[in-house]
Amino acid sequence: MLAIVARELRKSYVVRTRKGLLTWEKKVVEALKGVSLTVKKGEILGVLGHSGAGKSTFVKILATLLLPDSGEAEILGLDLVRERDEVRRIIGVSLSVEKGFFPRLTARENLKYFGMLYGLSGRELDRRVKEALEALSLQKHADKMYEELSLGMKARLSIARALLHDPEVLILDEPTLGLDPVTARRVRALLVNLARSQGKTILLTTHNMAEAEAVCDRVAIMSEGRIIAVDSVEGLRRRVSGTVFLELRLPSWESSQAISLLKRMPEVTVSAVHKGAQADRVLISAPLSGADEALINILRALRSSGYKVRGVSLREPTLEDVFIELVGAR
Amino acid sequence: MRKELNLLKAGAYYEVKLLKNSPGVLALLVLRPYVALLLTYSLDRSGTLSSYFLQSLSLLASIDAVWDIAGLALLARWTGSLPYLSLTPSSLSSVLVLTYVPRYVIESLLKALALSPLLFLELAAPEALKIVLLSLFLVTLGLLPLLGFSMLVASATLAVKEDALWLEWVTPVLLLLAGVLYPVSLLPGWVRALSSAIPLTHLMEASAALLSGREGWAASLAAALALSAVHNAAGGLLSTRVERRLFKQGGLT
Repeated sequence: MLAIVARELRKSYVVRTRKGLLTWEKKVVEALKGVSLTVKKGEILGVLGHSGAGKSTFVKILATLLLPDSGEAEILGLDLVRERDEVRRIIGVSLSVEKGFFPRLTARENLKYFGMLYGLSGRELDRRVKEALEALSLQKHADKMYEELSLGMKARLSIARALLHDPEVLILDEPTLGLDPVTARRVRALLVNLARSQGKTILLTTHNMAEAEAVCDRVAIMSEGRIIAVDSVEGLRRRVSGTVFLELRLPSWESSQAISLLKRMPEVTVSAVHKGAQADRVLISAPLSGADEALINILRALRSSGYKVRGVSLREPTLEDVFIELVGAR
Repeated sequence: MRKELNLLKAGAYYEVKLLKNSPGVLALLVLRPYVALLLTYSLDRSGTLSSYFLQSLSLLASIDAVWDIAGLALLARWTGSLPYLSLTPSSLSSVLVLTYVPRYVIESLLKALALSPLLFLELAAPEALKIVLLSLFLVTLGLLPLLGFSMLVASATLAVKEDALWLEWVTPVLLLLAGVLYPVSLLPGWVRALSSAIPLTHLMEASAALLSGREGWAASLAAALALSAVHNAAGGLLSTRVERRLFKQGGLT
């Protein structure tokens, strides 16, 4: 059964820039250019994309906080626009890990307040708040003022609120953004547990490829307002299965000249460059069939031009490679 | 009705916890009525302590109702909780207004309690108690004319970027027109015509008549309630439209 269905969603914003005292320049920005996507019940789907790819706009539309210009979307069969109030009862939303609560109330008081707004009361409210605090390991910090909580605690509290009214679908915008690795891992484990043991459907956005690989059943890659690929991580990897990735470590003071040389070689593609203090990591994709030959040619070309190579590694494509191949090619 | 009751309960919970956690806010709340009393006394020295008492509470309540509902909207935006308030099963304007009502009542009660020792020093206890209860009743009633208007100001505050602009001129104009700051009878004819369309004006007239034992308070009260209904309906309708616009433009996030 499908939990989320989006059909041809489009959204544009009018951005006004001041030109003079009383003059403005209007510019229409197309944030979504016809996004269609389905998410199965109990599935974790990650939406991956650069900043400005349209992920947040998509999430806000699904969270009923933004009206699409055209297109349709349903959550568990309920139309997002026509049945907005009913949809709001079955979704839990977290849009920011560092904001969204009242600073002069404690974590517990904030949860109780939002629970009351959702119509919970008495023992039921107390039980839900207690369960949400326990699920997110926040019991010890429940009576601290919100403003005194660490970023990791705030992030967990945001998910706790999303769970408070026991929604069937969770919509999370960058749920681990800015968290330390230990807390991020804990949040990921919680999300997997919610989907596997409680059957919750989760749609999350992320920049983090490792997170998408670790948590998501399927990944949708978004670029410039469109979804350009949706598949399991394995399925996405297979899309570049005919490609091998070479990673060269070049001394940073001469890497730009070396990269120029590599870019002139027809059999290889420079996919990405990660700058480092001592050495830059240069990611090169080449056809699997000619990988050995490509490697020899690269090393020979660099050596004959007098460039040093600090290290070479050859590896299977990761989700990051797939992302760069798909988004970088556009 | 159940939804509305939940919002009122949530508002009361928020206010009680906020005051418990913020002693500074509580102290300020208790001191403000004395500042208002000095202001009303300096504007017109011909009144009685009872009239100053009611006028001070009305002045603060009228300012707070407009400022606080818009302020709640601004706080929600500033703290990032606006989208989560919008996501509850009630409309945003209902959440903002109904969660504010308990705050208004609790704060009015605290302000009246803070100022009441003066009355008990000056008047006999039964008379002082009567004035306190009557003032509380009138001040609570005084929220009615301001609900729709405050809702509209809150929506407009969210719709425009210059947040403070609205609040800076709306409240003084309202207070002037309603006769809270200055007797309406001393204002020019066209301003008096304008002020007669404001329910708060009639409520102030009703309050003054009740305190001085004059006749005509019932007619003024009826006019205030009838105009409140019109204003609140118009305010509700307009704020719904503003909310729809915000929903379309992404202003709720």
